[in-house]
Amino acid sequence: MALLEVKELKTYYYTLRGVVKAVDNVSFSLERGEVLGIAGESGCGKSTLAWALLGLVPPPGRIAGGEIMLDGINITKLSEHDLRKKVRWKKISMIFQGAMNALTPVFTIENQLAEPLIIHKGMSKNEARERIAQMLKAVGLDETIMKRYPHELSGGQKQRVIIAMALLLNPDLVIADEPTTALDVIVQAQIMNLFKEIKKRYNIGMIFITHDLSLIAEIADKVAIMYAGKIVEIGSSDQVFGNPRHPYTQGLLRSIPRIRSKEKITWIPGVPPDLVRPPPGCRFFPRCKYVKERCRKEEPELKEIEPGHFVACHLYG
Amino acid sequence: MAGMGTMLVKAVANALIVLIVAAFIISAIFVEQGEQQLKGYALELFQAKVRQYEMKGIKLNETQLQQINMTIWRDLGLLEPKPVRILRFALWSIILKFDMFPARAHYAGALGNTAKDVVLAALPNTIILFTTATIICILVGIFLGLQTARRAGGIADRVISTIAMISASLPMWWVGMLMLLIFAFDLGVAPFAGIDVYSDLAELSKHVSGFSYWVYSIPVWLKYMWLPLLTIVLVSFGGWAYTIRNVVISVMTEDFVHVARAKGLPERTVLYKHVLRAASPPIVTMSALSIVNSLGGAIITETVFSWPGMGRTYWVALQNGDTGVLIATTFVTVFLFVIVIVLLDFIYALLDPRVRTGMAGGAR
Amino acid sequence: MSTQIERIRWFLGELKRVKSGLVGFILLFILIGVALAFPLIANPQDVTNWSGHGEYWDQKMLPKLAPPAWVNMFSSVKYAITQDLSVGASNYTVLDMQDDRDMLKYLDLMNPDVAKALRQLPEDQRKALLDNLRRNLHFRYLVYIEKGVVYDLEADVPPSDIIVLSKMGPIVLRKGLVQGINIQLVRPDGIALTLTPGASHNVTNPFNINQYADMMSPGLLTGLTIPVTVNTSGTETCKVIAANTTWRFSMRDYISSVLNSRNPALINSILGPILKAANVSIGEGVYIDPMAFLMSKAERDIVAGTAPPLKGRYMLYFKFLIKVPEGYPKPAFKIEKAKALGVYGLLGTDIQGRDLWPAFIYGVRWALIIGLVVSVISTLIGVMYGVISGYLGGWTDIIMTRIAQIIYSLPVLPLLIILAYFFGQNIWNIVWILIAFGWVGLVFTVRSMVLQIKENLYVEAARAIGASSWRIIFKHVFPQILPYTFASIALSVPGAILSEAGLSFLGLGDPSVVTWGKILHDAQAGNAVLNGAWWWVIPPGLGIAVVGMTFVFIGYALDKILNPKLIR
Repeated sequence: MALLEVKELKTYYYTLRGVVKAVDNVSFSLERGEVLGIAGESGCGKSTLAWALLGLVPPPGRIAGGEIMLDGINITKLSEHDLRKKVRWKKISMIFQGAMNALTPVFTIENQLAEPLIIHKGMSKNEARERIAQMLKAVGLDETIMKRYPHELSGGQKQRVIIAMALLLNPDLVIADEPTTALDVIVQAQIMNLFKEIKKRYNIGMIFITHDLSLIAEIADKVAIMYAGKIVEIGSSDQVFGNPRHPYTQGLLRSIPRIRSKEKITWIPGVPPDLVRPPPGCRFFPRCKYVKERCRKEEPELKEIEPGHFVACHLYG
Repeated sequence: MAGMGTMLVKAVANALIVLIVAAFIISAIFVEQGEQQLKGYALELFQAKVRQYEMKGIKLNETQLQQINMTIWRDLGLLEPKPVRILRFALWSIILKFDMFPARAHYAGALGNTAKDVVLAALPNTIILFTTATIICILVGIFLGLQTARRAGGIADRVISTIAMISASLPMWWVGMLMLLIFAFDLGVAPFAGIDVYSDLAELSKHVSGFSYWVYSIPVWLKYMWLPLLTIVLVSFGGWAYTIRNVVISVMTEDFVHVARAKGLPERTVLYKHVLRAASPPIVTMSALSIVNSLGGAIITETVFSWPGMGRTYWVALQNGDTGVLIATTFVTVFLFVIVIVLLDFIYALLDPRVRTGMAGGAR
Repeated sequence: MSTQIERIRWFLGELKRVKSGLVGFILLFILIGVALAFPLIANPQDVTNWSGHGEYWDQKMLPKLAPPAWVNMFSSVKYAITQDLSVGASNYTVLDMQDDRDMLKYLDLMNPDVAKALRQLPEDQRKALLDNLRRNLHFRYLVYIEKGVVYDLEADVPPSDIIVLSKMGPIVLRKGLVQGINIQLVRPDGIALTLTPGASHNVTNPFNINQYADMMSPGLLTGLTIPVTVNTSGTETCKVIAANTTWRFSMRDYISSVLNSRNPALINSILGPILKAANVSIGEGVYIDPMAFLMSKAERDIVAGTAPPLKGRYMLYFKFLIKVPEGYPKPAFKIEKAKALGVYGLLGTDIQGRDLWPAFIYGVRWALIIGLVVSVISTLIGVMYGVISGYLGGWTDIIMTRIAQIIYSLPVLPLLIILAYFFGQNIWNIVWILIAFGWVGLVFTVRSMVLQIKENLYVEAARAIGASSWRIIFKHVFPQILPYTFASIALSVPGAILSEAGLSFLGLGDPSVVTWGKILHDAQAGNAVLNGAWWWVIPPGLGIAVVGMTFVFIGYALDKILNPKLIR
């Protein structure tokens, strides 16, 4: 049984301007120990997807349909109480975007890391301290960091703390939402190495969300490309990077600069659509250079073009 | 925390400078203002004296008249050149030696007739009224602010916002007049004038003394205090709740609040531990400043209720040209203000570790 | 140009969303309308004559400290409404003693036997005897004047007073010349009183001097407050009620003085008929409300003041029997104004008898003017200061911010009071003083906004192109601050109005300008609260609150629409 199965998930924001369909009919699955990379432009719904998995979509947003099966249990149907006690941080934890503010500035690192241990595992302060020291070492930090305050740490240190925090309860699934965006390139590389180590050592499922395709290439087993709230292409890392089929994926890959390649960098013209009134038919058609009549009217469905590789585009039937 | 030591010295030095400058400014203003009234008063005394002589049938010559005038002016301190007077008042203010300032008018509750006695009687009265009211408002404000911030846009939120908007336009002293009309005139359950508390206390002291006196005087104070206290709280709590709500909302949009929730912490912990604590620096600053502002006593509100506090004292002193008391009350208010500001820096540092390390640590 | 119209349209659309803003703007239009319509809905004269024009208000004869007339709509007990009294009887008869027939008529009344005898005499003998008698008379004309006013009591609570303003004179007062006065009150139950002790309750013969009270009786004229002057005519010196003397008769004042005299004989002679009918007497130290006593049913409770009201027609007669000596003009008595005082008007009156409605409406003008002028100017100053300080940076910024901090930390109210005390006699000085303290609050927020804007690239870009600092400020910085400026202006108005009201309340404002704060000052000085005069206290404060609220709503809406950061 797959660790995580998302079926036709819809997450909408009900605002005064209209209904923002941030995640519209998204399905995928994830096995234990597998890393799924989700890539896409800002505003395509990736973060909303991450929050939806934890049941923490901020109002005025709500899960409007679909299922999220974690280990066979449909967590969309769970009460807030159960979500809090059984799912959050124990089964699914999250590594956040922009480590700037993810830690409460007025409490020590130890205080904040101890919270889930004390609340979920009932540990005493001393037990928690041991575990925290252990975890900090595992992510490459000195245990004296415990007594410090967040503002006293560098960006890289904070990110490591957040990673340590996410792993404290040995969750089955960790969602990393743009974990390296706020860091400089060198620190970014260090953190990516840490991720790779964690993947090797802990064998947990991971969803790695970013707009930077090169990072996904380093770490993901499976890749999903999101556009305007929908998954337009999904497959193994080799498949999607080696044989990109969707015009959007192709465009994205062509826009990444490569040191040794002499290819010209191109970019995709246009802007992502308004999610309140998305274009009819295929949401990408205004920017697609292969656009046909059918694209303007009919929404393409995900079709398997090779085993395990799915594309939603009319070019492929 | 060695940095704290230098901070302390710098803050105290700063405070002293402000106090010294303030003492001179205040003395100058009030000595100037009192000059006119004193001269008028001197003229009255002079004319009265002359009439006295006339009634006895004695006619005075020019030199004698001059001498009488001189004596009067000397007694009132008008013979001293103004700058000297200002200097004198200023220096005494700085060392808080207010028993050198005579009080010329009568102030309810003062046990002596120096400015020091007046302030010693008035300051505690203002504190028990306004400071209590401010504390109640803060507590109510925190509770309501947190609740409405959580369900922002909900009914409770809109009600509190409306109450805040309405109370921002209400003159507190007018509400006081209304409350007196309702509770004192119509229903007869509250007294009209706060200064009558002293006659009640005098009555009480005829029957009990010592410790029992202090115990029994509490309900007496409450009898006179409850209506002004209710008025102040009613007019102010809305604003507090709304301001705290805004601070809390801006804190709640921060990432670490989402993180706390994601960690599976109960909502109560998220609110009262993470949110409140992170919001506390601005809230504490507001509270301290509010408490200190209340020490000046709301002059007009105290006048409406005839509450014998610093505000009313200021007003009575002004109407009677009582320079000494004016300088004393104003300076004491500034003095307390400066102390609280200095303390505030430390409290803020206690609450917000980001402020503490000016030098050490920091991102590498 | 079209973008401006677009922007306005967009703004109006957004405004519809924020209900409070809509309410605010509607209220604002209503307020402006009221302020402009003031001369139409109230009497501007009332306001011009508000302070220091006692005569104006005296001649208006309004009740003092009277509740508004509409309280009757909400009260089961109906109060008497202020109204003019209608004129009743009117009579002016003259007997000329030089005329034999008139003289005989006079004798008929004085000494009927003598008169009868004289009539039977032959004409020349009669004439001779009449001449003889004439020489002993000190007067030529005998004038009977009667003027009555009528009041119908329909309410449950009698009027607080009945006032008759009249012009009378000349009347000569000297020994041997008895002038008669009889003021009669006839109640609906038929009980007749004479307010002038010594006169009869029922005048059967108007020319019978015995039915009148002697005007020279000790204390009578002073008690009635009829002004008497000393006149030297030729070699004689006598007391005279001069021609065209204004006499203001207040029923309440007169009866109160009678009751306070503690003279049982006096009290009984005047109030006796009622006391007898009610079968009660007035005890020591009992307080009696004069009007309630006069106009209640003659029952046991009348002294306690709890007897039911006696409704019906009351008639008040002023009767004079005046002897006019040879050479003197005949007297006149004309009632100029007669009023029963009770509840009055739309907002009642204050303790000086001034109509509160025009003052209240006029207050809207000054509230709007002061509020807007102070907040617009102080906001502009604050914004400019913050922009300059933030944009220039460096030492200028540090010094400017320091100064602002010092001013900001000063205790505002005591300083406002001191400045107002010295300079506040003129309303525009008050405005400047309020501006002087009002501009500081904005500086810090504006400055931090400017600092943020400075970070933005296009400011750098503009500078790179070579645009001057001022140009950058105006083209790039100001437009971003503008929305905040508008919201600030609106939100500063309540503070300005409250400050002005507070200063006026303490008596520090412009004494010639009627603002709501001033009305409340008068209320406090007039012990409105102690006397329960809610109509004096509530409207002005409510006015302040409503105008303040209008701008808070507007400012809040502006803030929400133009600064989307706060939208959750």
